[in-house]
Amino acid sequence: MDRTDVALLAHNRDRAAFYRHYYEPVAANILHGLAVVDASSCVVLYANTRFLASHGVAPGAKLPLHCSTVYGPGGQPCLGEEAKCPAMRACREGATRRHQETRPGREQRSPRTLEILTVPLTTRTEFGQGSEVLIIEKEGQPLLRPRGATEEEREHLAAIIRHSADAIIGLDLDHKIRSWNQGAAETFGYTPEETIGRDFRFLVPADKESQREYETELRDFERRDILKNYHARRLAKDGRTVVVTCTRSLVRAPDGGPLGVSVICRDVTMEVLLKELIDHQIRAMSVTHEIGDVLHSTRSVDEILQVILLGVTAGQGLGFNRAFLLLVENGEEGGARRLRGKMAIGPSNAEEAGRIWTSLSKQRVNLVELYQRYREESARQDVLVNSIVEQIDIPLSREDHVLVRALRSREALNILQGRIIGDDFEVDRGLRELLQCDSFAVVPLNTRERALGVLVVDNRITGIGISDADLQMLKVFANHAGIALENSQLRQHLERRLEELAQLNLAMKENQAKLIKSERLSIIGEMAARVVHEVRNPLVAIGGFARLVRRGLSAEDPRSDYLRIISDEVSRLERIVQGLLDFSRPKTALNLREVALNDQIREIVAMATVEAEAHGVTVREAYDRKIGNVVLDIDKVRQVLLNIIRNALDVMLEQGTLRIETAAVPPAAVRITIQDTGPGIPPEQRPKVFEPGFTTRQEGTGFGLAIAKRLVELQGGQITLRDSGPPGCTFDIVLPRRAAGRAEAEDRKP
Amino acid sequence: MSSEKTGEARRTRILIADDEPNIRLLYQNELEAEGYEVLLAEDGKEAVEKVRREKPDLVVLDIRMPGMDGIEALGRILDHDRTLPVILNTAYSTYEDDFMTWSADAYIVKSADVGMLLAKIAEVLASRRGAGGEAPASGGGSSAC
Repeated sequence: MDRTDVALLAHNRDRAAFYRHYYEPVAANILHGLAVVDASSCVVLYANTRFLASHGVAPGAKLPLHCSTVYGPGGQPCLGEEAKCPAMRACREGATRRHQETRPGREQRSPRTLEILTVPLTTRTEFGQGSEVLIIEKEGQPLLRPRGATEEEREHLAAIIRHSADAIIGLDLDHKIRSWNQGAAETFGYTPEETIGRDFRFLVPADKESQREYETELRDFERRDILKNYHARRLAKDGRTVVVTCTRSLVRAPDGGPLGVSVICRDVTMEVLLKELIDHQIRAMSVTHEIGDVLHSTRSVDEILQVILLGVTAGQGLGFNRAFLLLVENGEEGGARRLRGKMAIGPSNAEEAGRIWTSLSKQRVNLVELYQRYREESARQDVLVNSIVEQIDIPLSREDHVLVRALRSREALNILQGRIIGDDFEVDRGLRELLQCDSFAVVPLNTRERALGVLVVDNRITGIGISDADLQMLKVFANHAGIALENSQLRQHLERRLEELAQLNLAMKENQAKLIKSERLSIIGEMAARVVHEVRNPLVAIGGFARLVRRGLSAEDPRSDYLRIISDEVSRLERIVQGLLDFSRPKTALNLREVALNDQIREIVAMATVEAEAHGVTVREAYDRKIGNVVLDIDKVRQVLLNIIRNALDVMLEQGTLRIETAAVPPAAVRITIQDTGPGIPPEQRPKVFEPGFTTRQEGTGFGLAIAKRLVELQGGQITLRDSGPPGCTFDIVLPRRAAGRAEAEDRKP
Repeated sequence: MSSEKTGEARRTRILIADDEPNIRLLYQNELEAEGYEVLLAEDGKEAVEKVRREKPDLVVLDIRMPGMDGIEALGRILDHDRTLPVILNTAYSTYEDDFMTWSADAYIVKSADVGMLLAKIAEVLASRRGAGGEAPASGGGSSAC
């Protein structure tokens, strides 16, 4: 050791003391190796116990020590070569260096990887401008050593990877695919030959959202060497979008350097879809519950129809763009049943849609409030969709029509590009052109017994496809709507029936009162008549014989005068008893009133309808609006009509039809026609039908039609049997618009 | 008047049905005085039998009679001969509104003044003869002739 060395050593001893003084209290206890090295003189000025132990130096060694004593197996010096000395490089670059080193384990232990930080200490000390560096050695976990693994172990590991159900994909640092296991092939449909060498990005769907997610994924991965359990969308070979959970991790070489990337993916598409479905169902339940609330608080059919459409289209509801409602109706004049467009909701075009949706999303109201608002803003008419729906009118006989098909089969149908999904049935072009849309869904509205109509929905504006989940939700909703409609119809029917019953009840009470009055009168009349009869016969004998005897006497005979007195007094008595009769017996006079004939007949027919339904007979009515008001005795007309209707009901079998029709007969008459589908009347009996005593029924009195004829003629009208079948009779009753109370016909027999 | 009826091959034959013997006697007297041949019946049943057997030209029927009443008798008589003229002659004016009586040719309320009945008989017979061929060929008409 020369003088310079000694001086240097002395100098360094002071520095070592200085660093020991500063570092020892902290560094003695930390888990990392820590040392201060003077790079210019290759001297270790300070090292903690762990550092020394890590380098195989006895803990009691006195510092400073030359680098070569500490570093290098066997204490080989770096010979001052900068390229080999990280401390020198760190000093020169003035920046922290980080590198890894693998050192052989001591005493048969596995090799260890150390992460080594070399930090230049730039601060000046009392010893002048320093070239000291601080070295921190972080000891990592012992590495598996593939090199040391047996052939058998390696084969075992490879087999695990190869046969894993999860996709395990190896990438190089440029994202090129290097390995592609069986799980990957099954998940994405590509063979290894088709993928190896390609950029991983080809598995990312082209849409912007997926691309953006992928960019984020790569960025995150650069910051952290591992990304665990994140969801991503990937594109399979057959075009499906596969949802996967991924773990992406950096693979390092045994020396710690980055080697590549492993991506492990598990196909969770089903789970995600199921979750979506469950979310949908929950949403559907809460939506339909909400709609149900509105529906059940709604009374009229029209309002319910509005709620249905609103529920289907509102964002708070099912959120379809447009909805069309069609109901089953009877055709005009009892014609064929048909499916007819009723109502629709939806914007005409994208601009209108944007406006509405923006305003609605700002409002953030629930469905009940939305419905209130909708009703208030009746100005919003949805002109285009309503003009479309009004053009739909399909007879139910057209079973090939997609709407009729949905109605009949009670199945919801999803139509994509003009074809029913799951069926190659091509949808009527006319309908598609009318809707200006090739993809839509049709769902039937049913009650338990009846098909009420269908709901057609589409996403014409947004172009979003209709999923199975959407269809499911629509079906749940349609069930609710059907029940609400049925309830409403039943309620209306009941209300109508109750009203009818109340009216009938009232009429019956009135009639009963009249009956009691007339009964009382008729008892008085009956008694009076009996007295009159009993009195009249003796009077006839007394008066008659008095006249007879008087005729045999000469005018001069005074007895002749007495007999005249007897017959005159008898005549007076006869007048008195006749007066008594006239008083007690009400006259059959016409009670002419101005009435709306159609309304009156409708009421009369309603009375008979109850009876008709009991007979299983269908009643059909047709009223000529031109009739208006007429003057007649409606009570007598009622008697006539009920008589003929009852006759008809008695002779008709089940499934019969009774037709009642009114018609104006210009210039001054009206006609009421009653037609049945009974057996009719044999031709030879036809002239006799209006004669008293005519009947075809065993229990008939045979006077009904005779009375009818008299009551009609009393009002200046005529009743004729236009057609006597078979099958069925047609009676025409023609009445003058203004009946003049005609005196009772004098001549009684034709 | 009665002289007109004599010399006819067959006098017009009128059946009177009434349950009151006094009334029958009165009518018989009056009608015979008018030159009619008079047949009598005490109730509806007898009236129907006599119509069948003795072929009267006109029937005067009371309505209220024991057993078969006038209305039932009317039905049966018309069943037998739809062209036979029938006059209902009753103390009851109530039956006039009873459609069952409408097929009779006339309805008269009984009166002590038999003149009304006689006039109605003559009128009905005349109208029958006037209607052509339905009245008995050899019928001796009343004053209407």
